[in-house]
Order: sequence, then structure tokens, then C-alpha cells
Amino acid sequence: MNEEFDVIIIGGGVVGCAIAWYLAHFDLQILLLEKELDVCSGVSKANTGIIHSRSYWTPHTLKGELHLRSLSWIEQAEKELDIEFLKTGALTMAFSRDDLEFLQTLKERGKIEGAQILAPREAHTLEPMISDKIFAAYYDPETRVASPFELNIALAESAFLNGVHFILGQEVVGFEEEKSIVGVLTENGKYLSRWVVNCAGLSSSYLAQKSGDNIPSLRPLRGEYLVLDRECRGLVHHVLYPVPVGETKGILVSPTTDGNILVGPNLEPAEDEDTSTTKEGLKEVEEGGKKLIPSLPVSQTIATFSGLRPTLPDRDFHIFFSSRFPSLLHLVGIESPGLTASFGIAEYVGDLLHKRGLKLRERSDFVIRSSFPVFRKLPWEERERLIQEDDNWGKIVCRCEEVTVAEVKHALLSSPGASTLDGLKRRVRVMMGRCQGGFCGMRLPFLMAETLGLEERRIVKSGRNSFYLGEETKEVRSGASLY
Amino acid sequence: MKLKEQKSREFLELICIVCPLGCSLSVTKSDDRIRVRGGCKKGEKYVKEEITNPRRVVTTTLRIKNGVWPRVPVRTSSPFPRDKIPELMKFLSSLEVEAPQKRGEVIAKNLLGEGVDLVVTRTIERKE
Amino acid sequence: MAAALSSWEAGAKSVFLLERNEYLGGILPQCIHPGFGLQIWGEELTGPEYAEIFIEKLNRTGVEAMTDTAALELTPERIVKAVNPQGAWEIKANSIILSMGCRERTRGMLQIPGYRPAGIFTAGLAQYLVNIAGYLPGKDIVILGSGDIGLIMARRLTLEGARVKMVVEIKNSLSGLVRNYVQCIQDFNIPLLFSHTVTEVRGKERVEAVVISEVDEEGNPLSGGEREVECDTLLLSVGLIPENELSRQAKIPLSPQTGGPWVDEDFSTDLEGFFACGNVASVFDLVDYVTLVAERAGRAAVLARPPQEKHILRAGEGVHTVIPQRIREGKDGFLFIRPQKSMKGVTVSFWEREKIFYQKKISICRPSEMIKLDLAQIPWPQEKGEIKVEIKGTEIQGIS
Repeated sequence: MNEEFDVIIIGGGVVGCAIAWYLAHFDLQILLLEKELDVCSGVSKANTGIIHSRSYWTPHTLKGELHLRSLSWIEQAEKELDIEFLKTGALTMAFSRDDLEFLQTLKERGKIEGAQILAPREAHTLEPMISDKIFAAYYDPETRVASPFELNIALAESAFLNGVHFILGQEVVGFEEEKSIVGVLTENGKYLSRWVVNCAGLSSSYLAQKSGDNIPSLRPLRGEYLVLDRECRGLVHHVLYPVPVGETKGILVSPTTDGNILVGPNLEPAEDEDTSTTKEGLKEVEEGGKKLIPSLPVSQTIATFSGLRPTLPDRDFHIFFSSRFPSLLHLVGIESPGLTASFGIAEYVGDLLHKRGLKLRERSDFVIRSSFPVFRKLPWEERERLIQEDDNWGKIVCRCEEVTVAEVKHALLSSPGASTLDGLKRRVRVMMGRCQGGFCGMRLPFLMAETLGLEERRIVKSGRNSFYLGEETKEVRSGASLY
Repeated sequence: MKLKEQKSREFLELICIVCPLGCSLSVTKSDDRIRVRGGCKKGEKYVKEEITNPRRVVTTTLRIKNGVWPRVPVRTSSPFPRDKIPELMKFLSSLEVEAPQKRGEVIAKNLLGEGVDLVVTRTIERKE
Repeated sequence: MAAALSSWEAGAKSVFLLERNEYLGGILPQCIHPGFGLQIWGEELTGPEYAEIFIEKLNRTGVEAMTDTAALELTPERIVKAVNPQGAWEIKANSIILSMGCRERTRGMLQIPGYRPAGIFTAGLAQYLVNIAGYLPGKDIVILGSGDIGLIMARRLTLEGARVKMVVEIKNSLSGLVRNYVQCIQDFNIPLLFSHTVTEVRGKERVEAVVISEVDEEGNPLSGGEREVECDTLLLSVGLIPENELSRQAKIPLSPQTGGPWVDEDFSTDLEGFFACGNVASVFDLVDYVTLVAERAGRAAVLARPPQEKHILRAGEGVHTVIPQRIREGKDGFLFIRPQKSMKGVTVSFWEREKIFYQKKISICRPSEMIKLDLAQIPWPQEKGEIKVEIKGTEIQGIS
């Protein structure tokens, strides 16, 4: 590729896409490179999705500073991306007098109007299902819940809409000096850019080491989750935090934007890129959840998953320029509150690059993203109108989540669109319901193949080799052996 | 004499499937006859057939061209010799039929010379 | 379809049949194996044949069969809201018959640890892919669950050239029919391991192996009893769950034992005007029984009998489920009892007020086969009350 970019962003997670979205407000040529076949495929797809309020910022840290900065962007982000964060508020639950000190700290840090420390009876009025054993609870009205995929994908779509180029499925393997330009090397070739931002999540430290920088390797800490059926909607209304033990916010119980209940994450060390779930981990998550909600209906679990926190020893964000490439910026260790801080990080990155010489000329023609209609949320008159316009709105392909063919087709044909089943899942919620693809799995691979003009056998779940279908039946083969 | 007799005897245990009891039957098979112990008359008949001439109804699908669905389910018209089923499957994988196909139609006659036909079990219309 | 037909024949002026698939028949068109129709017609048909007979009968009536039509909302006032490519529909009816069937238990519900690779399928989904779409789910397959769907798929996949490495069953006895054990497992020399389960899935992008483990009576893995089995596909045949999302919306009372609505011998639910038949009411094994039940529900939906006091049946010792759970008069119709275990020398007892008022002896019972009793043969007490149904016998382990 001969084209020279102003900025190359490495990593299509929520941070990379937030940076792309932010920089797309300016007159710049931007390329985003993502290793996997879709954006939102790494850390960003497996987290709790909470926009933590001011109460939870960590002073004397970069991550704390960027957390606060990010909160001031929420309204603008909601408007420009056409998404809505669910302002559920939160309850942090103390089980002993010793925990009370922590609640006080939250209150002081947050300085939030309407936030207060509640007696058990008052807490029960807000959340009838919480444990009787609580000593007190801190109520915070500012906590919000986001769909991690919806946010990541909305940021990507907005960035694309505003001129950012996306190349998916190419892994960056190194860097080359080309005078004042950085050559970004992938298996397919070299991309040239004046500025490069490495926000590659779990691979960020590895890439920083590739550029010759001295940064410790990441020590991934895994967190497992339980997802409960939407039947459980109403079990809890707020995000429930325990008073944390150790260096983590603890095992939460949270409503999601789609009506499920999410329980998790625990904290356990994990091998590199090991996102498997474990029997012990899931048990720990269940117990943690039951501590907050004793009657937690675990039998209503429809899915389990795990995510990896890309942690550095000091548990803070490390955002720094490469010592060898002065225009290569590394972002390493972006764990919690990465999602919450994503807008703040984007602005901070812009500031850092600007200070070193990146010209930021604001555009006047920034386009607001318009989200595609979600059939499940539409009133009946609107459903009828859409069906008359396009009968694909009348074909339900996922009955658990009430998703139509029209939405699936759009998700496949949008930009950056889905090219994998998991990508479809994250855009329109197919396969995320209680049957977990048992019914829509019969239709989706074929609908995907037809819409994208692909061979059915090439349809993948997420990775390049995650082929969904086996061979066709009635290929000539040797017969079965019988008894 | 006795030794010779013993050599030509085979001992088997079969589960009878005629009724839900699922009795385990002991079978002694020698050159000239089969002796069955542990079941009823129906079971004895079943087991003797299973040993001398085991047969199964085979159901499978065939490729169908220009149909609204890519496969048409079929069945053998009567039970087919069990031990020739691998050969039958190999033969069937080379068969491709054309839409439309109607339920009940005989799509192939006298499979592998065994006097058993292949019958369509689902009507597949032609693709427009 | 059977319910729609019998409603029509009983004189219903208009009958709408809503089907979300593009074809009628539900699960039958993909059940290409024989075993349907033996009880009611004395013939052994395959699933698609059975379905087509009903489709043809339906075509000769004025029943309006709407395919590609997904019912999304149901109210207690018997209003259905549905969508199809022609538009959004609102239909008010005098009677609603529920026949939505079941969905399958998933890996997520079992919380099987490991990665989430491609290659994990429920048996019904795999059956669709093989029989309707013409694709194997994979090449080297492990099946969890020895229920009939799992056994039948073991045979089907083997005949299509895949390698079924083993069937793994958590209980110490066969879940499905003995006939299927002989013709699907024994015929093909497929290993069947009792008292084992899958405790981990390995492989990041596509299944590479599963870990199987020996378990105790409670289903808990025994330490040291684990081993890895290489495969590229895991098929789950671990239970069916009646799909009552719409029933819940309509606030129809559901039984925690069956997972479906409480019903009487007309298969009328506790909510007037609502009927439930087939797997949505309770998991049935034979489509023949489903047909009988559906025909009755279809007739009853037209006759609309007034509410009356009913006997309440409860599942006692040895009984997994009993359907119907309410008896009006018990003059005609059937009772279906599913036992908890495989047993021989069985006695089914009916208790009322601490006394047995009826007993029936049967030689054998299995969890995979419902016991069908004629209601007319049971001397129901005059006064309506609670009746407990019990099964006692000698337990069978293994195959038989």
C-alpha cells in the first residue's frame, strides 16, 4: 500500500475505536488495523460493561485521571453514536463495620449529588433481593451500564462513517523506521504513517517490546462470568458491587442493557490468551453472586464466558511514546476502567500526539451515526410499516431475541460489518438468547453465505479456523463399518 | 468327536428388541442349528433372524438438484441386509436426483440386487 | 396440525395455524428415521412422511396455515400478535391451542468449562444440518447423552461417513430405547460409557478435544477418572425444555415438573380458553401419543366446556412426571406417566387420602417410555381431591 496515513491505530477494541472516533473529528487520514476478523474481539468483548461513576476513580493514577476525563464525554458520545447507556445507579454493599470505611471513601471520592450511605432497610427498599446480612450500602445514582459490543461497534461505525479506513484480519508484527514515517509491518505488507498508536490490548506489551521498548510483559488476570436468562429481568435494578477484597472491584451482579443479569468477574491468573472457563472459577463467581443476592437463580444460566485483564504489575495504565520511534505511542495495561475511560483515553492520546506535532484541524462535516432499528424494541405500528417497506423485517430468524432477517443482512453489509457468526451476534444479538443458537444456528450460516457471497463451508464462528460446518453429506466416501 | 463338535459352536449374547423388556438372550450357534435361551417365542424368532439374516430399514438423504432444499430424505422399501449397508451407502452417495420429487415415489429399484427399492419420504418442490 | 384438523372437524368456523418455520411439521421433517405411526396406524413411517400425511389432510380443509409466521406476544385475553413477511398481525380467538414444542438444553446451561470454540451443537441442530441442509457438523464426534436423539444421530452421522468416537451418559443406565441402543450403537460398535460426563471442552477456534470424567451416583466427577478424547465436534443430547415463553406472557400457570402448563384430560390449561398439547405441555416420546392428545385438545377447544372441579394429580415416588395433572371426570382419554428409573416388576399405585384405590402391574418401565393408561379404567373417587401416583419396582442398571 503506497498510501501514507496521518495516524495508524493498532487494535479495534473499545479503546482503538474510541481513538479512531475521536480523531475522526479532525481532518486526518486514519487507518485502523485489527488482528482478528472483527472489531471488539479481544478484551473489549468480555467485560462487565459498566461505566463506573466518579465514586470509583482511583486517585494518583493515570487510569483515575482518564476515568474522570472520560465521564465528561458521555453525553456527547451518546448523541454522536446514537446509543444510550442505562443509568441504573449502583449499590456497594458492606457486610461489616470495617467495610464502612470503604463506603465513606466512595462517597468522598464521588461527591455525587444524591449519593448516600444507606441503612440496610433503606437498601432493601431499593433492592428487595439483596442479602439480609448487609451492614450498610452506598447508593450511587450515576453508575451506568453499557453493552460493551454495542459501544465498541458504534464507535467503529461512526469512525468509518467519518472516513477512517479499517483493515481487519491483519496482525501487526513489527515496525520499521522510514525517516519521519513509521512503517507498520503485517503479514500482508507494510503500512506507512506519520503517527502510530498501539492499543492492542493483550498484545500491546508484546508490540511495545517489538519496537524495542522496555516494558514488562502483561500478566493476564482472568475473570469468569455467568449470564442469566432475560426471564430474570427485574431481579436487580442497580449494579451491585461488594466491598472489594484486594485489587479488584469484586464479583458484581448487574443488569445488562438487554435485560439479562451478569454475574462476575472473579480474579485468577491465566496463561497467555487463555479465555477458557473453569469449574472452580464459575463456582467462585456463583458464590460471589450469592453473597450479594442469596436467591440468585443460577439454574437460569444460559451462558458462561471469561475475559482477560491485560494487567501490568502496578495495575495502572501506561501510555508512553516509544524510545526508538518518537511518533509511536504505546498504550499498555488498559484494564478496568478501560471501557469507562475510553473517551478520556482517546482525548488524551489526541493531546499527546498534538503536543508532539500532530495538527488537529477540526472538521465541520462530522457525521452523526444513526443506529439501525432494533425490531425487538419497536412498537407494533413501526414493525408493520417496516415490513411493508421490506418484507425481510417480517422474517424472524432468532426467536429468542426476536431478530429479523433485515437486521442480520444489515449487520453483514454495514461497515465495518460482521464477517463471522460472533460478529453478527455482537451486532444484532442472534445466538445470545436462551437457545444459544439452537434454532437460529440452522439458518444463520446459510443466510450469511448468501448475503456475503461466500461458500457455506467457509463460514466461521470467530477465528480464521473456527469453521462452523463440516463437510457436505453425500460426498463420495467409503462406507461406514458395521458390527 | 466331542472336540470337533465344540470347535464348530459359537456362543453369543443378544439383546432382544421386540418388546420393551429388552431381554438378554443367550445363543448357541452350531453348524446345523441355533439354540436360544432366556426369552419368549417372538424373541427367539427375532434372534434367529438377527443371526442368520440381519436386516435393517435404511433411511438417509440424497442430493437433489434444483430443489427448494438440497437433500431429499429416502428410505428402503423394506429391511435391507445389514452387512451390505456400507456398500449401499457408497452406492447412494453417487446418486443425484432431480427436483421435484414426491413422497412415495420409487427412486431406485432393486438396490444392489437385494430386491429392495428406495422410496422418497419427503416431497421436495422444484426451485423457481 | 392434528389439533387444527380436529378443531376443524369439530365445527370450528375459522382455524389459524401459526408456524414460524417456512414449512409445516415442526421437528418431523428432519426426523428421517422410522418409528412414527406404529401405535395409531400400525405403520412404521418416517417423520417427514408422518408430517406430510397431516399436511395433505390440512390442505383439504379450510384451516389457514400461516408459515414463516412468528407469534411474539400472547395475552390472557387470547390475543396473539405475530409477524410474517406480509405484515404484523393481531388475532383474537375464542380458543388458543399451544403446540410450540421444546428447545434443547445447551452447553451454557450445563456450564461445561473450557473454551467456546465452533463445533459444539445440540443434537437437534446437528440433525437439521445433516438431514435438511446436507452438512455434517464435523468429522470426529463425541456425543453427550444416551437419549434417543443422541443415539439416532450416532447412527446417522456414522452412515454419512463421520466417526462417532463415543457416546457418554452421566447416569448408570440407558436413557433411550433399547432398540436404538442395538441399532444405533451396537450395530456400529460405538463405545457407550455409562457414569461418565464431559467436564471440559478444549480447542480455541474449533473443538480439538473433550475431557470426559467418570462420575458418582450424583453425577459428580471422581478424581483420577478423567481422560482426554480428541474430536472436532461435541454433540449435546442432554434434555428438552418445553418452550413456554408465550404461555408465561399469557400468565398460564405452569407445572415445575413438566415445565409446561397444568392441563386436564382435554388438555385444557388452568386458564380458560387455552389448551396445550404435545411437547410444550410435557416432553413426549411418541408422536402417536402427541397426535392423540392434540386431537383431543382440538375438539375440546371447540366444545369449550365450562370450568368444573377437578382431581389434582401429583407425582409421587418413582414418578418423574404425570400428564394430565387434572382430571374432570376421567371417563375417557389417557394418562401418561413417565417413570424416574428403569425398573422391572413394576406396580403403579394411585393414592387418595392415604389409601390406594387403584393399582396396575406392568413388567417393565423405562424413563424413555411413558406409561399410557386409559382414564376410563381407573376408578376415580367421587369427591374431587388430591391424588398421588407412585411407581415401585426393582431397579435395572445398564442396558437391561
